[in-house]
Amino acid sequence: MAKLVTPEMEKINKRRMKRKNGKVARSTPMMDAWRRLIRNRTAVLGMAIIIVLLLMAVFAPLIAPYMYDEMDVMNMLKGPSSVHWFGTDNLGRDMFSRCVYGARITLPIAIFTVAVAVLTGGTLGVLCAYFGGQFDMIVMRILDVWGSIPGLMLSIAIVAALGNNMYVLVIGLSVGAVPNMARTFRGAIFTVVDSDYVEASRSIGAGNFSIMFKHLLPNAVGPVILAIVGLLGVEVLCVSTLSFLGVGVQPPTPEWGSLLSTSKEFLNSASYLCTFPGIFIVLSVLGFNLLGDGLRDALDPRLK
Amino acid sequence: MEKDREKNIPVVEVNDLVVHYETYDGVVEAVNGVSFQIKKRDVLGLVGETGAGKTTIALALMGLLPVPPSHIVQGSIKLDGEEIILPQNASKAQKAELEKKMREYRGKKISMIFQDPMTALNPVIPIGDQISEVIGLHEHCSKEEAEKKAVDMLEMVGIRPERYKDYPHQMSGGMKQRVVIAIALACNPELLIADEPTTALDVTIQAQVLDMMKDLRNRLGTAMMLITHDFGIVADICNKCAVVYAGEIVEYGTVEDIFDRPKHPYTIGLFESIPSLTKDVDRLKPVQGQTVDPNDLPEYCSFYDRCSKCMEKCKGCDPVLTEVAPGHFVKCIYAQKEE
Amino acid sequence: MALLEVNHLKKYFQVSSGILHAVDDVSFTLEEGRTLGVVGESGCGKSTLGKTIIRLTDPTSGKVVFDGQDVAGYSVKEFHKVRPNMQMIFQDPFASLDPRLTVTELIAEPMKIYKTGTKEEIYKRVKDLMDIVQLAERFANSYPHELDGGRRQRIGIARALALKPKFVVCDEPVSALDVSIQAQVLNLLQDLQEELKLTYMFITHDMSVVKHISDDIIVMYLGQIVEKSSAKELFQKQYHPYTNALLSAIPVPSLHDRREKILIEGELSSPINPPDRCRFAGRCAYCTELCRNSKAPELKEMSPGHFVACHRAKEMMVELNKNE
Repeated sequence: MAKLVTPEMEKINKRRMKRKNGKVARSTPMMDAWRRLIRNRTAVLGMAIIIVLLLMAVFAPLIAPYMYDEMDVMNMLKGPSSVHWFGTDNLGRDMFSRCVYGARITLPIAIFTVAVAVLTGGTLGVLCAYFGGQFDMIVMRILDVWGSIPGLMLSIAIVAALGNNMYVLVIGLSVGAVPNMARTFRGAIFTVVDSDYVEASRSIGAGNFSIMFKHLLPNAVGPVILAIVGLLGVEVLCVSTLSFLGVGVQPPTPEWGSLLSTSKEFLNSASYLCTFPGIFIVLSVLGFNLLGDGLRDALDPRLK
Repeated sequence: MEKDREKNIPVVEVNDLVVHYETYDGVVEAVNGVSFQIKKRDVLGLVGETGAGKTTIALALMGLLPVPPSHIVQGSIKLDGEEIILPQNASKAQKAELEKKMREYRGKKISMIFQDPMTALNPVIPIGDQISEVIGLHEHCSKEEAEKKAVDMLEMVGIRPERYKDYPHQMSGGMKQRVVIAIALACNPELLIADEPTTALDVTIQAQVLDMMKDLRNRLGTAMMLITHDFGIVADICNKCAVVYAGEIVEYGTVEDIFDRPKHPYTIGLFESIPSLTKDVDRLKPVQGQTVDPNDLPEYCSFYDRCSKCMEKCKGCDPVLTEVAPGHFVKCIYAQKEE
Repeated sequence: MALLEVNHLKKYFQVSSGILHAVDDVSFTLEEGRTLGVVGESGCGKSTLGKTIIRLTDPTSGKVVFDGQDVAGYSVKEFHKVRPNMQMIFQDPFASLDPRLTVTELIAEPMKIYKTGTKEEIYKRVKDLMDIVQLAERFANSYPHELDGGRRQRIGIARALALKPKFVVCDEPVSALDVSIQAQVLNLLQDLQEELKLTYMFITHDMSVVKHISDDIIVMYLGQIVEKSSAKELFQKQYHPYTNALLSAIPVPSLHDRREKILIEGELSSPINPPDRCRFAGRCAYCTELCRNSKAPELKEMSPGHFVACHRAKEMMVELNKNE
């Protein structure tokens, strides 16, 4: 029988040839996931939002037209205008500049918090899943108790007890996230810990740490990345919430949550003051969540 | 009259079936122009290696191919004389109607046993109820009648009726496969498709299941299509055999044709790859190379690259499945010339 | 002296409903350069036996004398020094290779762990190994998922050979492969054995494969050896009813020498807390009061090199082979 060529086939094969000639032929599981991710529009949107916000944080002095604490006494509580894009607050400070500088506070705190939570909780989770047995039982029961205390309350208590600075804030916030991270890592490792290749590595003499960090973790990276990205969104909210409640970053440092907090007194007279920091909080959380959803689809093609 | 009908109309007739899987990464040419028919009492063995397209053929017969990515490019499948492949330009209503019809046929006219009995049963429903449910669905009888028939089915596959209320996890692999077979046979289908029914089972259990299937064929006359990679099973239970390679039937005939007078180099190679229980050889003589990539089939004979008998001429064209002896078909220039 | 001597090896697992006797008092010896086939149905403990010998799990009791040393009692550190000599080829080439490493990385891994040389030396040896297992050089940077089963299993073999072992446990190395590929890999294993003087323990459920490759065979049932003999003799004469049934159950790919199938009833009984009597009695067609009531039978030598564990072994010798 002669080879049958359908129009669809021609189309797909053309695409395939194009990609082959474009030398993207190398395919690792990670690169496949990346390709699926950048084909996903919402994920790309989420990624774009986050990149813009991060750039904003890095280049804040170049972007912001004023210093965040520069007061313009002639223009207090003025609405958005071409001079002050987001208006000015009750001390005549430029709201746009304060929001831009706010990214420098909120995002790093959220990122460091997640990093601390991943390092501690993640390590605990990996150890629990790998060694199992008594060790796992004891650690998980402790984490169960720990996790049953609302994270935010725990954070407030720690910040209240240890005083108010960035480091304490990071530690306070991460403490609330540790049980969750530990459980995620443990679950992710559990799905791969019984793999034949783990036994195969043991048969060639690989040690526990080499197995854990060379074989198990890279193969469990999917759910772990998801949890990390999701946690970033959550932590942005938590930082803002703490500051809003007055236990986090203190004014005049322009953290988004504290901006909201000081602006809430003018909700009736100058509602724009609340609107813009709110928009930034929503945007960053949305960005992380969209990216997270996209990552889930990209890392697990079966869900599509 | 009835007897004539039995003889003349095949239970299933497949003509020039072509199935592709269209994925982002390319087109997989899974089935490329397969034709065969199965009559009542026939047991056709479909033999081939992984990726040869055996399961795709079975799913096409069941009307269970997932669309997309699969795409029936051309061909016809007649179930009991009735066409079940719609033309390319079929309307939505036609599709819905066919789907409704197929749902009625599945279980009643045509049934399938899958490879893994562990996943084919619902773990939270007693096995007896799973059988009676199928009977109730198709025969529109009362619950009591269905349950009575389910008990009969259990007995037929050699499970004591006391186990009616057992859950799948209480049974061993062989027992579960028997339940799966009982479900498949509950409504007396005319065609039973078994996709590697014993691969997940141990040899002694496999022997029990095969024995039971043979017995059922003798008593009920059910036509069967048995998908396997094991020539031993074919010799045991089939009377017709088709060897599949890269989505094509390369050799087809009675089991005597295939086992005693194999013609296609691939069939011969497969036989030589199996270690024999009776003869002692120092080294096996396997088919060289790897299975051809169904993503990228050649224009010529798809076995060319692995063939020990290939000639210059083989690269020029793709041979046609030709009858070399009555009822014995081979798709190979070399084998045809030899005749 | 035998390369490997296993004495009364036991491996029990504690499970919720009791003690699972996975390997129960298994003894055998294996001479250098030979292949021991281990056959039995799933759940008979054949894989656990292999894994216990190369210490992927710790034995409950018993001796494993390898090259004159009892390695069963070794600590993890002590065993680490012996491990290069005892390697394993795994069943499923799709699951036993880390999907995130390239072929080169996979084959180099054991040598990196044991620091067998400089980077250059190791990568040179990787090339040699790929050549030995007939894996084309162009696959050096491929990932396992890009290769088919046969090529993947060649990676597994190269990994097992990287440390120049004397003894290799092959745990169903070909059962996940297609027939034609299976034959290629079997040939490769045989060639390697000749060239490198390897000793194999070949675990499988496929009787025709085990007959083809083994010198000696042990048949296991529920953690115990029921019959032990040279491969040639076992396929001619069986003294145990289970072996007899097992061999007759194999579907033979031929229309002519069809044999009478002996169907054994029922399924494996539970290996959890088994009573001390013949474990096959419940399914055995030749079972008598004696079998049901007395202690488990011990392995007895019935003819030179042919051992069987059956109370009625003498009668079975006659009964099962009367057609000969």
